[in-house]
Amino acid sequence: MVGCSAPLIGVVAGIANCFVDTLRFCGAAVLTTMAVGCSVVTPQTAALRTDWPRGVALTAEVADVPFYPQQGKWCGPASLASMLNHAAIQATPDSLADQVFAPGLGGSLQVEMVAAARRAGTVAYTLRPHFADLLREVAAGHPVLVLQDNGFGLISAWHYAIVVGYDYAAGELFLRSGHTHRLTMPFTLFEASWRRGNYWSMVVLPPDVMPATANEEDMLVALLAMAHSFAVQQALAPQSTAKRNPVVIGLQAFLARWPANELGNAALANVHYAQQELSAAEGALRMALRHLPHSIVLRNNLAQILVELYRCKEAQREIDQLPASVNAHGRFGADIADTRRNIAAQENAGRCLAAINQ
Amino acid sequence: MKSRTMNVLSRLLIVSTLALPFHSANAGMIGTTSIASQADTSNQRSIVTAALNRSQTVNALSAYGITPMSAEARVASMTDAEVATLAGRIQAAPAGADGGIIALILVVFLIWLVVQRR
Repeated sequence: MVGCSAPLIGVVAGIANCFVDTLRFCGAAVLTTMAVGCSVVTPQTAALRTDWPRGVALTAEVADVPFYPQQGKWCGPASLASMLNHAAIQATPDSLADQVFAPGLGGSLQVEMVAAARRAGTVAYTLRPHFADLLREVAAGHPVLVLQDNGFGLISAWHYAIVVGYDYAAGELFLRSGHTHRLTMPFTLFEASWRRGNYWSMVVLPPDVMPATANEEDMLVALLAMAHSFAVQQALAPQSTAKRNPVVIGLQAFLARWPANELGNAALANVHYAQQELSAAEGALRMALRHLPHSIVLRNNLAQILVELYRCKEAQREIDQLPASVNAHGRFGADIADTRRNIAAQENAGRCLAAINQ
Repeated sequence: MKSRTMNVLSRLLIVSTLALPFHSANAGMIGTTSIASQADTSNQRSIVTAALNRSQTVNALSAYGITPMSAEARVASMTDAEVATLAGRIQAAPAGADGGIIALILVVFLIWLVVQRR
């Protein structure tokens, strides 16, 4: 296990076997336990009473989330299809089953739910394990896919459902779940089941829509994972991208909010570069260098792109701006040396544009 | 900034051979993953680990009734960090033993029913 922090740890655990029918009798068990002490079983619900998240409406509902009644143990494919449809991606439980359902496990793994959402061209963003974050997303109009354990004691009954709304005054959440289009569930009962899955949840959004609870680091992780998935798919089965590249859209939205993120800027230029869009890559790097004038990576990559555009003089100017100290044994010393060699090679081969054109 | 970048990278660890295709494109261009990845030695180790994890996970998924091609496509869309957690998990956890769980639930349910009727 790699030393990764909160959200990705949540992306790990179990299989959801879609046990919806156990709900009723485990509800009874939970209610009994609650009489004993609800702050033990449902600490976050208890905390909401005194500490309602600031700026979040007390009632909200995303009514237009499509619903696919679950067939067999297909709560994973069914709920993911709903989420993707709401993000304007065509999908059905049948079309997703081959990506997220494991017959031998009788369920769907969380990681596969995340990966499949990515493959479909959406950004899968795992929320922090906080009720406040879930509510904030729903209030912003983003349905939230949750993993519940509707069993009790040592018995697990994993299930995926979608939180589409809540009414705090009534103490209820509204879910697309199993065979029920609009399941009403008390906050306490929901938390008891959600808690057993380590409060795991995610939003699935079009790349130009930022999650309401997005933070810089987690968002970049989600986008780079998407870039990785996209690149692999392109390598396995190249497709002409008639539509705009979702990774580019996502990274641009990210940089609109966090313009000085070096890795995000480098990634955007690299995605353009991988698609052989050299001018777009150049534009992205020039924009980035305005925010990060001392970035070695960004300037080196700009120089390399300029070489490939036969603008050797310009390339040389960029690479000469790097401080001498980073050239020899710095972290990217070898890359910078390569770029210098490429400039020289281009010049020796007489492939450079006349300086007047640069 | 630097430590944050490292953090992001260590969480992604997309350094497998399946990584972004432009890595091999042109020397001189610094790839996204190498910006994020750490010192060379740990890098090489993680490449090996990542590749192993991927093939292990593909095999594990295949054992659960997924065609090898589909399993490969599924794993390809995951980050190395995700694959790493999954690889260990599938082996360690008897997650698929749902038949047993259903039987247990039924037993508990029956006991509960009997208790209720009295």
